[in-house]
Amino acid sequence: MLYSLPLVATPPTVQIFTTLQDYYLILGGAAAVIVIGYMTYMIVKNRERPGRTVPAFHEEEGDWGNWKGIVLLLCITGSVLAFVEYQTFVSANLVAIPDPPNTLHVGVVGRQYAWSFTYPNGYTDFQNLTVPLNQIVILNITSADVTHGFYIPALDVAKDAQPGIYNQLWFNATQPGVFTIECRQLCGVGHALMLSKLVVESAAQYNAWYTKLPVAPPAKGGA
Amino acid sequence: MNAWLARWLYTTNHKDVGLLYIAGSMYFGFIGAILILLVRVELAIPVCAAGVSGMCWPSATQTFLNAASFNQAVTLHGLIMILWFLSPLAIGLANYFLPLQIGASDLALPRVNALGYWLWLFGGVIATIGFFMPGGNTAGGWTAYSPLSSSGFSPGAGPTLAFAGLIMLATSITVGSVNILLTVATCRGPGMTWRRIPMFSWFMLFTILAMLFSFPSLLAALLLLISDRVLGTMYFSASAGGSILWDDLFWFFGHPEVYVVLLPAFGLIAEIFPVFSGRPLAEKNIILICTGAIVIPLSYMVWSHHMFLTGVTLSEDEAFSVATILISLPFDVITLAFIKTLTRSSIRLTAPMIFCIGSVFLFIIGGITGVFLSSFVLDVVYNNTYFVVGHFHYVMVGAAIFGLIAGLYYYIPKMTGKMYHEKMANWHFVLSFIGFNVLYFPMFFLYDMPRRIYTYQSLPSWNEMNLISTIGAFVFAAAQILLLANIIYVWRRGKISPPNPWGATTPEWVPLITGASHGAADAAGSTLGAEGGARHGHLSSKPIWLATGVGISLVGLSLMVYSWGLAVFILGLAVDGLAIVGWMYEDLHEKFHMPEEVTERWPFNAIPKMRLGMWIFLSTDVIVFGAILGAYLYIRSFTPNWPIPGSVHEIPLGLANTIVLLTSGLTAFLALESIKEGKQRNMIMWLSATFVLGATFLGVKGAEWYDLYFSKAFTWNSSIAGSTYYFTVGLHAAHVTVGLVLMAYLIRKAMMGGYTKEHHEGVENFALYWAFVDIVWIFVFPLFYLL
Repeated sequence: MLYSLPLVATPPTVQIFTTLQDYYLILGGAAAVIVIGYMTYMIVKNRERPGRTVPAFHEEEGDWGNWKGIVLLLCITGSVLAFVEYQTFVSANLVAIPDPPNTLHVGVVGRQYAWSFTYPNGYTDFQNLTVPLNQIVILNITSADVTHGFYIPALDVAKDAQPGIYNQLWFNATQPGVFTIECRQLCGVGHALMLSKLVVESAAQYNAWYTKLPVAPPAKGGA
Repeated sequence: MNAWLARWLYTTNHKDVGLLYIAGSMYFGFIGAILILLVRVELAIPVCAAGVSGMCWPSATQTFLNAASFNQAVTLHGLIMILWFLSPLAIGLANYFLPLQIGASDLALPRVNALGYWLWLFGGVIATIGFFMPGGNTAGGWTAYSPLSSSGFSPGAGPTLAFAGLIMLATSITVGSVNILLTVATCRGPGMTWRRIPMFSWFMLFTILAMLFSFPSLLAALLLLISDRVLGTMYFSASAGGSILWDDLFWFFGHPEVYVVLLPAFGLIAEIFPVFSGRPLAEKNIILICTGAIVIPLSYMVWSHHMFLTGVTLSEDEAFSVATILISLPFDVITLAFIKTLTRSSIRLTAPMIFCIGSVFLFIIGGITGVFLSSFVLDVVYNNTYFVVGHFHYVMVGAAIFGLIAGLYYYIPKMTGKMYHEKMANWHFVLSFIGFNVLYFPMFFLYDMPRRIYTYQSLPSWNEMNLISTIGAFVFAAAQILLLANIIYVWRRGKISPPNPWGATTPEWVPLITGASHGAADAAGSTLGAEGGARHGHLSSKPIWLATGVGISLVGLSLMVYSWGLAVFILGLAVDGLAIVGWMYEDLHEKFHMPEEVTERWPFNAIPKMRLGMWIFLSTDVIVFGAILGAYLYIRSFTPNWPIPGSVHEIPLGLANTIVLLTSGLTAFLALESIKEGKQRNMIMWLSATFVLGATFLGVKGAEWYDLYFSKAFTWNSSIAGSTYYFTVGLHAAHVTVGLVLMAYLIRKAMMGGYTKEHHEGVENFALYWAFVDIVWIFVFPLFYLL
């Protein structure tokens, strides 16, 4: 990760993302350096200058060229691409929703221009998403009006919020603190300020907070 | 009228239209650049709202642009730069040089070419006047995601005007692509076999293929959206599937559009690299095969990678991710073939070549970051952030604009007969290249900053990169002044250039072939100064009038919220009616001569030019109807309580009307058979019968609508069932109406003895069109009446 957050324990979603990104960065960077380097070398070496002549050729020479070289090239690039694609498939658990027991399900509704969070007991919070430390949380995301994009930068998770459709994401926060939740899909004039806070507390703190909540009948958009 | 003005307004000459496209696209490019400079100023430094728990929370008020202006600026920047600057610049060069390269005397349909230009220009003007409407222009991003773009969330005439402008653009692109395909297929000069077609023309051909099936999807989406906004139908607003429906229709257009922007630049590189390196283009045929594979099928198979974060399933994500990564293989081969051309060469580093090298250099970075984005896991973080912005600007600005500028420098001596200022052009490159990288490379580090936010939290990693990027934007923009200065230099005091200054071997540089295009006036290799008498046979006032009429009627439609909107709409239709009658009059009295086709080759030997054009046009229309029927099925699947068949529509009446329409198909066929045997009177009789049957079909339809609307209160804005019925059947009825107009023309021409046993292409084309209209109804009838 280029800008690492000062986390004590890396959340699993961040771990998956950074590991995968490293593969792409290293191989992509190497490819860029090799190809651009080779091109630059060719240009410098073959620049027009007194005494430089071009070897004779037939006009049709380039038509098919070196097709064996092309096959070799396709094999090399193909295997690199297949390798990174395989790594993506392996990392698909970042987006696949796990199903262990003891998960916290929270309903998220985006509306112009705020997020609201509905807990299993029916309580809806219009300010913060409060979650316990080290527990898998599954969000069930939808929108009340236009398309929004739910994004927690610190956890490297995101999903679109679309009206009439329920999309899920999961995360496991491993560091207590307050983090930003952003909207990442242009949703109108208030888009830039459609910010909420993710509050991660220890299980004890969270339970103390949760049991004091005013209990309402489960809302429709809830878990 | 002033001869100079008449030449530019009424021209149908491919070179003039090409120059108009180039000038127009530069004008729009200027507007798009100003818009984004405002945005970059806004983003240069964060503005904090004081004292929110110690953090710098973004300020909502103390900003350079307010949120509404910012959103409009980014939205119109995207639309203008992609659709009114990049593509048209390439189309301008293609208009000028594609006919020269393949030895055609002009495009196959010169008036349609001019019509395409004026539709495009007026569309752009209409899209930009939206800024001056109360409530401003469209502000939901160039992707116009639904339901934000519906009238409920983006009210006012401004957004409607922008979408109306886009409809004109999509129409322009459709007629333009039919025209260019037709030209390449049927109008090539003697000896110009497919194998000998130069690379720029090949790449334009592939560009057209990427446009041909993608723009109809955009057109369908826009027609639905305008209908939602103006008439109150409920495609995107009231249905749960509305947002995904728009995503699918839009990105089915949007992804091939990326290659529409990129491929012309690759075509220019494929021309310029060999000329300036003294070597033949390496792996020429393999490059063509790879480009073909990119366009069909790959470009049409990857649109869903823009929707990884919507509610698509994991297996769909995986499939589209693999398809996307596959597309990087042919690009890999093409890029390395370009580089291979440079081996064992002697490279002349003059402006066209330097810009091409820059283009390849930037494409490598843009392409590799594209591989990152093909991963549906990495996209979770990158989606809608500056990483994406950086990536597609490396492709669209880096690869495409650098390539197109290379093409401009390369062809300036050909277009003007004069040479540009080399040193100024070199500085133009140096400053552009530095400015470009300072502008866009920092965006890769902003991979966690959402795009399209006008104010942001102060984070050290964001602040520096945004400031650097803004500085780069001004360097890059300032560098473009050198291009303008160079053009003025060429115009005012450019030195006379030899006819083939680069030693190129492609046909457009050979003066003899140039001369064949519109007579001796062009023999000097220049059109800017040439004012030959030969040109006058090719002036027509009808294209600009037709486009004006379309523009006025769409403005009227967009302003329907005002009481006078309807009057403007009708005025536009009247202008259109006059222009169409005038167009047909020119044909009937042979006032306008189309260039004769020179040779036709396999696989088109047996298919006359116009009929091929009709086939291509109908194939785009298939996509429009396919998208609209698909949209119907899709939102129906989301809608509970669909009316039971027979409860709304009267099945016996519908069936009777279906039989009327199918019978008219039979009579149209009999009309064609009659003229094939040379029986003119019979043909007129059968055509008249077809006309009467078609009119009867429309009449019954009108009666049905009257009954549904007034007696059954089944309206287009009362339910989704009503919306889809009126829209789909209405679009079909519009096609029937066009058929009636065509028939009126055919009957008039037949009465003048215009069709004989040997020459009856018009009747054949009409029969084809009418068969298409019948076939569409065979799908529409059961879907709406029986199911």
